[in-house]
Amino acid sequence: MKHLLLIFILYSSFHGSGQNKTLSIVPDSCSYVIGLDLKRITARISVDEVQAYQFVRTITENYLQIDPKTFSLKNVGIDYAGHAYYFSGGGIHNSYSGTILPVLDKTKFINGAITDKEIRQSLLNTGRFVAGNTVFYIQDNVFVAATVSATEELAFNKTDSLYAANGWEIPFRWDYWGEEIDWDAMEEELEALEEALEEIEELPLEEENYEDGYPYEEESAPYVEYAPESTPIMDEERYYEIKDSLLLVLSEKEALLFVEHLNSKNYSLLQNSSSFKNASVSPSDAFLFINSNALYSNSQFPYSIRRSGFIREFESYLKDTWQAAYLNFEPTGMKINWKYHMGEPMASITSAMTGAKLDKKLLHYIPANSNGFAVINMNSGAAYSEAKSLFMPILDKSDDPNMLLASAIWSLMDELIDEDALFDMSLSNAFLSYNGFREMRVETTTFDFDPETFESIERVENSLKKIPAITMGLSSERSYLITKFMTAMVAQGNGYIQQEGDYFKMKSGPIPGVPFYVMVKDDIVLLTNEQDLVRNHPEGYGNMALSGPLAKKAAKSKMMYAHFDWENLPEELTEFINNPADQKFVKALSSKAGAIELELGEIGKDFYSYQATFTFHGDYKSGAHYLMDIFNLMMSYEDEYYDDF
Amino acid sequence: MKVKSLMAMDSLRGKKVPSELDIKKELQELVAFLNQQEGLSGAKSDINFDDLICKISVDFDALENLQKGLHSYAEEKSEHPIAPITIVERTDAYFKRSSLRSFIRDEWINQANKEDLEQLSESSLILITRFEEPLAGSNHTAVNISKNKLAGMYRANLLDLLQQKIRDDYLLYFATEEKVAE
Repeated sequence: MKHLLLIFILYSSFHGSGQNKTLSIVPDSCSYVIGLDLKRITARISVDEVQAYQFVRTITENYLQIDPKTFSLKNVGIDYAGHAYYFSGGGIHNSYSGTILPVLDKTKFINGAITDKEIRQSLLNTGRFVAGNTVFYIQDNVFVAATVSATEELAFNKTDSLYAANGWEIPFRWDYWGEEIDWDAMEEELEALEEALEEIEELPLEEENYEDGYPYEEESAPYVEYAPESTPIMDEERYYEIKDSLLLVLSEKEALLFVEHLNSKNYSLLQNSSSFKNASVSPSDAFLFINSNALYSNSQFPYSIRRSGFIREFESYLKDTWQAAYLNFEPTGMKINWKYHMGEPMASITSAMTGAKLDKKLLHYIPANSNGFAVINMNSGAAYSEAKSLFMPILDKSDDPNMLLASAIWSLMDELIDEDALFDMSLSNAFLSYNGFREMRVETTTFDFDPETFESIERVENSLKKIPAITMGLSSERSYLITKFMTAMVAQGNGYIQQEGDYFKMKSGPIPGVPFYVMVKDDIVLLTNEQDLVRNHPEGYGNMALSGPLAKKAAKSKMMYAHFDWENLPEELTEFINNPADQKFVKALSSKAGAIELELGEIGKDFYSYQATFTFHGDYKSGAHYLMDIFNLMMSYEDEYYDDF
Repeated sequence: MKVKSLMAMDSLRGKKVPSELDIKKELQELVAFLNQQEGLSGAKSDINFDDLICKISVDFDALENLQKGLHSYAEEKSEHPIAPITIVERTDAYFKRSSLRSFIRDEWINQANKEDLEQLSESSLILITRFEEPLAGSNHTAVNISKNKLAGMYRANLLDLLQQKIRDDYLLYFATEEKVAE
């Protein structure tokens, strides 16, 4: 799969009409699809520029096994006016991933890009090649390379059927976690079985009944394809060997079926999914489609979540939901617009959240030179009311006693709790800032030994260490409650919290050994490990506080806004990385620094979106060039990185 | 903070990273096991995750009981039977401590990342043994005797120990009655 993705990046990082041709090939059981508009991308970075990157040459040589000196991406026969896709997905019986490329000249492409003689001949003669879990397919100027595997579950089921048919004992599977075992029920079943067996043993044998074998075998083991002549030694290891062997055979069958489906319009995602059709209409350099429907039906949610009664009730809302992300390269970076199509009820919750205003006083506590910050201004109360009107009826309609009880308890809490006070105290109007690594006094424990007796004496030492400076703040009309609790804890006298002037000092906070400070100033509550803030800037940073366009964007933001600049971060992180290869990579990354801005985008009737804008520092021709530089850097360190393992 | 960051991970290089709760449970299990063993009592453990300092203490009636208890625990935890080992031995003339390093397989050290191992050069192994009878000396240069002569302390760099640049088995000699009188 890694190779397929690399090949996809290689081929598709370049020249874009044949969209429908390639698009209609995408299988309908896909969970993820990444699409690249080759025409738009190659208008920003040329095919020759792409081929000049070392990592592209490495992929050509190592993975495609083509001599990069003689290979020309430009002339290999790819249709750079079309769209390329990477897809992955699966069903109950298989999982797959693959690449789809638009091809201008079929023969030229096969001869230029396929080095394996057997695959080349098969593609030229029949347009397809299937061996093991590998699939190559070319038809109507569309090339597909994929790997298709049968699922482990299918292989285990077939193995169990084989064992049952031959009367072999199936070893206990310690790795089997699929179903929660009801031991009590199992014990009852065993007792019943033992009783039944005792009764059977007492019956006289009627040998003529078995002359034609057990009809049971035929009915319960439809998957049996062969039966060995003699009974082999069936230990646990053999069971897994048989399962692995069956997996290989089944994978090839699934691969053949996959190719058949590629030929049929009945299995096209474009044909069968109006969501995918809608998602693929918007023009962009690249796009990602996440089919939540396929994810849910393919059991890709964690088992604990799928078993949840609430999620089962909520299933109708999970189905037919989808996400699509659109990436466009720009001269100074790139923009990503991520749309969540969650249906009208869920979109209405998000919409309700946006009706709040940020308390601008919070911005006074973010320094202008902050490396990154995020502000949240949610109307939690309105969102809660919307959520209640959506979820409560689901619980009330349920037959599940737990769901009904949950609804009753929720309603009781709803009546007892002052919602306004609760949401005022929540982090609905808040900020988080990261202000770089600062030298801070940290407590460490060491041991001394009395030379007379060698009794150990624990000693707490203060030392200066570089620690990430973090400040969290929230605005609340009920900030006095924090003061009351802190004062009460100081009065406990255990020394963990002390009052120092207008603020409280906690001996240790979220970072071990590092003191944190709590300050309540009017409606503002601050939690920080920067003593300078609470000691010297209780009213905020004044003219050293965040200002200008960033402050305006934060103040006017809908629901949330975040800005993060990692100019100095790689350099600072190297101190915390032990492995020299990782250190070199992170240092090299500092020359490719940039800033990212995240904000809530458009909110529609049945969707909401986030907009991420990335702006690079330094001199690059375009965002596409920058991204290729990052790929190149990552690949150049990959070998060194894996050498360490 | 590095250890804290590593412990926040679910797995590291394909191996599960134990959570604080996992480690506490393991310690509780060890303490409960030791307290159930014949001749052992008052087992206690304490762990400080901020500085990663773990303390385990246990009272024993006789050295044999301690060794037997530790051996039983090792067997309980191992998939294979473990041959009885003598960690410490006591005679009228000396106290002998066997090598702890010998329990660590060389391939573990060889497989470990070089840079990670070098971090251990900042760490020490300290073993303190106390007696009611006075000590006269030791056969190891890394062992010091306390001023009151009732304790011996072995202290060695952990990396040197793992790389076998220094031994960790040693003898502590008891002072003879004549020498004490002098």
